[in-house]
Amino acid sequence: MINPISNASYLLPPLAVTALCLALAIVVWYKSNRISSRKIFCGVLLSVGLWSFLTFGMRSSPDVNQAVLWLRAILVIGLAIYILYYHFTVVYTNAKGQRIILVAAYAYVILGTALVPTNLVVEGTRWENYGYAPVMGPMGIPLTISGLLFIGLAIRNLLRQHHDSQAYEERTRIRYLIIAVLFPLLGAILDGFTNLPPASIWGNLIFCIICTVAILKYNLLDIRIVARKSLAYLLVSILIAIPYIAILYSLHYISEAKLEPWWVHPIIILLLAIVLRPLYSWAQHLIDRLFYRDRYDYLRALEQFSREAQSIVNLKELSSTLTRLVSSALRTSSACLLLPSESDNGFVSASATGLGNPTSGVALKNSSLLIKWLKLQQRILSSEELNIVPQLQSLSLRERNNLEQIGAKLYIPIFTAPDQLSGILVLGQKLSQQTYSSEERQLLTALSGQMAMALENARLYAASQQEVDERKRAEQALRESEEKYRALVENSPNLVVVYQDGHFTYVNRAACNKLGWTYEELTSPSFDAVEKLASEGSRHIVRENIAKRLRGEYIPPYEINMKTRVGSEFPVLVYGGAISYGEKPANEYNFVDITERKQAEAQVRESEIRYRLLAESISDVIWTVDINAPTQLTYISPSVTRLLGYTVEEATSKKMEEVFTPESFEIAMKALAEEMAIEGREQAKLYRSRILELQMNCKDGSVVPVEVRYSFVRGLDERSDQILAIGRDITERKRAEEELRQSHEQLRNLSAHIESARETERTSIAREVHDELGQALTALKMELSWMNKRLPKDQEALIKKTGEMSNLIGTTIQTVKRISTELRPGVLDDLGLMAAIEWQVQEFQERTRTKCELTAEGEDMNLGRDLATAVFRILQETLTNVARHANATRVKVSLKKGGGQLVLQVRDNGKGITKKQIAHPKSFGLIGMRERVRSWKGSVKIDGISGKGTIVTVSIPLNREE
Amino acid sequence: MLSEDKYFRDLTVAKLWQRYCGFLDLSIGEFIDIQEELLMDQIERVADSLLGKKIMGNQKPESVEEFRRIVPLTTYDDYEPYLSEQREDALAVKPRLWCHSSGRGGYFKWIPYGSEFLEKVTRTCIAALVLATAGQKGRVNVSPGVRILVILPPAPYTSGSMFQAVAQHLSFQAIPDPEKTQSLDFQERIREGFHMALRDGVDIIGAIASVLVRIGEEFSEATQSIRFSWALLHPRIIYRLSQAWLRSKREKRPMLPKDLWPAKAILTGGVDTAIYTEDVAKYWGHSPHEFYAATESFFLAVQGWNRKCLTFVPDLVFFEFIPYEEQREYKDDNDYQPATVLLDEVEEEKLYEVVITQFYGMPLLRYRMGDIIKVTAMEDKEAGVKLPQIVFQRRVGENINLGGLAELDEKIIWQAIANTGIRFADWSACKEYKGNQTFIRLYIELKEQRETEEIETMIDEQLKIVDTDYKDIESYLDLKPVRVTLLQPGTFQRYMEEKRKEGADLAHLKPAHVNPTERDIQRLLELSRMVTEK
Repeated sequence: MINPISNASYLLPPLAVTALCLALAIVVWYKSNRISSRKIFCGVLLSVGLWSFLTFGMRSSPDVNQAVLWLRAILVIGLAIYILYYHFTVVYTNAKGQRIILVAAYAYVILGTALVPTNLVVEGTRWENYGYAPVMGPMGIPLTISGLLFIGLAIRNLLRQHHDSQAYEERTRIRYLIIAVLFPLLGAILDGFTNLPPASIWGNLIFCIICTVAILKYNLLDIRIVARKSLAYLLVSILIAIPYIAILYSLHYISEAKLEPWWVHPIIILLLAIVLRPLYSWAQHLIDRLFYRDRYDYLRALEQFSREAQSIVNLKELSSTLTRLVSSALRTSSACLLLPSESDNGFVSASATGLGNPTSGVALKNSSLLIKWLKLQQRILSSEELNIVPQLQSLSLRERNNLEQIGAKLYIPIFTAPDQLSGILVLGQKLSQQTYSSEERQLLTALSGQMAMALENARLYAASQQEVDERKRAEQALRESEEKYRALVENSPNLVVVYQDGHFTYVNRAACNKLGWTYEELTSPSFDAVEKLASEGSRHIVRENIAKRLRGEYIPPYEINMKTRVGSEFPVLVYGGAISYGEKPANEYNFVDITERKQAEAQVRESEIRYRLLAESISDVIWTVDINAPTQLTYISPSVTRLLGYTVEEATSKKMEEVFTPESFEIAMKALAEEMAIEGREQAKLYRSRILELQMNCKDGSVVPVEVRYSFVRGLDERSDQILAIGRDITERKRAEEELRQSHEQLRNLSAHIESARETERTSIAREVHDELGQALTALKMELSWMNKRLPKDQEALIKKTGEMSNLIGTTIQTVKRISTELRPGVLDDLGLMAAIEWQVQEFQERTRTKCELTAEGEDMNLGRDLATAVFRILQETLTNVARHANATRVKVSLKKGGGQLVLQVRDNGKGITKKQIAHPKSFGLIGMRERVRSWKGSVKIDGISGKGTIVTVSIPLNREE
Repeated sequence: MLSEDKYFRDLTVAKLWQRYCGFLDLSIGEFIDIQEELLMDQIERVADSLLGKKIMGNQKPESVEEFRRIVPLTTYDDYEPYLSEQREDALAVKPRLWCHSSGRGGYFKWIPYGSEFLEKVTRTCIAALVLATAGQKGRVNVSPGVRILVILPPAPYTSGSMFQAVAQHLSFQAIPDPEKTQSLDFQERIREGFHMALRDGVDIIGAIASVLVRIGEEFSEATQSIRFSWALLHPRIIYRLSQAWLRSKREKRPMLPKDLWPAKAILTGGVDTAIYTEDVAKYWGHSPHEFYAATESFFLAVQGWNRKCLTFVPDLVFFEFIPYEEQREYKDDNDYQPATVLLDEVEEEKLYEVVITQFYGMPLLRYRMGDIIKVTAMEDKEAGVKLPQIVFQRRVGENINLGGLAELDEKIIWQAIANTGIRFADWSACKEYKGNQTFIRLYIELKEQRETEEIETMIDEQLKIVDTDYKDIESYLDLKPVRVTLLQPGTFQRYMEEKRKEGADLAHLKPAHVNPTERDIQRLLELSRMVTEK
């Protein structure tokens, strides 16, 4: 037997594991970020490190007696490792209700620690061929098994978390943690129940490494990928091993030769690996198929798609193929491709798979926060992130509904350029109800690049196709245009001819009909057009113009007389221009028959004479000025003499500033400037006019008031070059207006006087009614009461009657008081305006049940009896209007005195008075208010906002009062 | 499982932080993008509702600019009587609950809350809890089951209703149990809450800063002579008491609330937070974490993890701001429509009135909150926040203008009083005229014996420190603008008792700190006289 104590392979592993565990513990502590679970796991690592060090101590012990001491310490730490790991899973999974178990677990460690020194757990150690082995006591196995129970609980915690968690990475991490714990368990079982060399040390090491990686690494490898790759390499290794062994065997069998030297073996293996390289791909495919079954086929199909996609140029076909294939490959319930809309205001569904009624219209606007986020982040987005990323949490309801409608779970942006989002592939829930793995996301990211290329190709193709179509359409339009032109010329009432090489090469139907020559005659090279078609007086004009045109000079339209075959003449306006005809230069002439226009001109001339006669005979003065020199008269009617005393010549020689008074001239010029500005606008009314009241200077030095109506004189092209003015003497009208104003003033004074008299009368009546009638009634009531008490008790009918009379008088007294108060509230005379307003507001509130607030600012409100009465009556009128019409729930009354003004404002939140109601001639209440305020030189402002209320503001200057 | 509990179960810490506090990482452009997106969504939702039509007419703005141009600024009166009558037919979305304010302005404001809005409020509430307990960026120290000690008025008060709404999305332990303590009055509920917290422990305490300080002061005085009670004989209470006793002995000081209730965070709202930050930290172990809330939207802004300034929450309401100069100039002209600016247009060190438009189909559009805020910085580098930082300054009208030279508000006056170190029960201040001179009259009830002139001088000196404009008054006008009236001890207490007997609402138990009504002042003076005569 070899003494294991001197064997390095026996002694060194525990030391190496100790060092490694310490290093891992440092890394985990450094990366713990104050996360409790990581700190506890640090404790696990340190415990494993300590356990390994104790193992080294045991192995290096010189005898079994010393070794047993180390062994006992190892067992205590071993128990601690179990419990710490369990504690770690409790904190890591946030498991509830395990506090008591945790306390029990630590109690178990304490119990174990107490038992271990006795022989109940370990009786001693013995020698085995590999080194020291424990001799377990009666409690050894139960203690170990109960420790394993805690590991079982830890695994249960992890499995629960695995079940609850939706996050793919989290689930993978937990799988690693569960697998890792199997290694030390296996080691413990092997050490406890077999005589094999110690395996726990290696089991613990693997456990520590796997767990540390699982905790610290964020995106762990998918276990299935690890298994898949491992199997693939195993298969390849077998494939290489078989020929290798076959070669060795063959050599040995044929020549019993051995391959020497040793480096020949690696060379053979390398050569075999190179030669069998294709087999690796085959093995990989075989394993992939084994793992992914039908999905594998779809992945292949996707590869196929990426090849074929380049050849699909129809955008719609491409979109539909793409969604179908991706949906099949990843086994998703739905897939939808969003592409930019035609109007480029957002993204619309271009194709969809697995959706009943995909959304129509724009699903996501360009301004959408989701689009902005995808453009900025340029990565795949999961629907869970809509509840995490702040911007995406704020998607509008409409867009959320749209995305819900397409069952979106994953959004894959498709970029054709770094900042150009060309589409979004939206995938629905996977049929397996699992989340998308990292591998699938990577696949989709890669695929999005291919999609982008394919889409871009299709889009470019579509654009070029569109260009071709447009060109075809343009050619077609040109053809149609030519045909239309020909038809137009042919059917034109004008005479159209083409003159080329000294004769007509084309004449239209109208020319033949009008002139009485046939087409062939007119287009014959021997036909002398000038001689035969122009009147004698026009021939020289035609010849001159032809000569000029041949010299390349421009010829404006001109008039000539043409003659027909039978010799009758008619006037025409000739338009000419150089054209290309039959790919040769030519001149086109258009002869417009202007016989009717000539006749119309003659009529206009006659009409002008008539109008001039009319203008000269009416009493109004008519004049015109040039638009560019508005101070200079171009025409004035003879009636000016009647109005101003000037002759027509005198008036025409005068400037406008001399005709008008300076103020009137200024007004007229300002109005002209404004009108010119309006004239410059496109939407200006053509036949608008403007009326001004001005004053004109007479020849005798007096001034006459006139009403002048200005308008623009327009030609056929609607342009104006003249301003027409019609002035009317309004001396009489002005006089009548003045008389009317004086009459109004008198009426107003009368109204004020009546109002004042009425107020005095009211006060007097109120006092009389209150004092005289009220007192008389009170006395009557007292008399009646006296009589009632003295009536014999058997006169029940009389007693009853007098009682009723007394009640009636009481009611009458109340009525008298009310009438008196309504006529003139005593408080106004006794306590002043402020108290009266307070009373009125209170009374209004009680009467109408409308909340009414009063605020008053300023010093004392001692305003004098008349003004106080006016203000009070205005308030009364306003509140009456509120109660009758406003339908308000709240009224604010404010009275401010200050700055030389008294301002009363009543504001309600009712329906708001309309402008029509304010201006209605039968709004007598408002008219009365205005009249009252006018007599105090004040003003009333009434503003109504529909639905918001009405504000009545009364301002009265106080200087008169003061 | 409740909806927010699921997130805590499924998401990593980094993702949890991003979900709740990610808005603090937004750039100003991203913030405005969110606001615009949700505003257009809001217009779409409310345009056809009765209230929407009343405010916007038959117009449907197509852009934010158009919205700001054609929709008038509104106040609560514009929504009347629909809101006070709880007319659901006038709203765009069916509300899940109706809440009302504490009736500070004299009458209740009823506001409807839809489900979607409440979900967002819950998320912001959790954000506030996370930020309050974080201590550093990216840390999440809150989880379902968190124990929260908050003394709140019951539903339909906004705060009480919101607490209930949050409970429907996140599981937490409310201390005291609102259902069990609903019948108790405010003081009793506070007592019951702290007793429960003593037994079960507490993670977060939410209260008004001055109340916490008062409890702290009374507690440190009372612990000098702890009275035995059978209720203390609970194992957990004994354990907590012994721990607290050991801790205070180790640090050689009297026992403080932080020893008995070692919470992770203190959440507060109100103008007094900044004033009592140090005192709260002294008694409760943490400086308070503040938020800006209102009946109209509950959360408007929250503090970052470093507990400095407030940052607006982007997805509850659309924010506009009326520059204070304009607000002040036209404050009496109700018809004037002042121009507003957006958050990307505000300037540092300037005051603004807040205007909000609620999202998610809620009814308030361009609604003037009546709150004045101050922009203190354009970013918070320490917390990594790239958005304007603000503090709540005061309510509109709750200020005292001294001859146009200085404007004192509740915060400034309170800060000055607190800085003097005088022990006081409560105070109230208003403007006073004498001839053509203006003064600030301070009615204060002290807890110690001092002379009026001494107090006047102390407060005057502190006001000069707290408010730089105030400092110049003396040199310009050659007068000391502070006039103090000392109220007898117990005056405010008697006032509150009187009000309680009258059945006054919680918010009306005390007179306003700034510009109380003439009637309130007279009553305080009468009560003070009555105490003296007694």
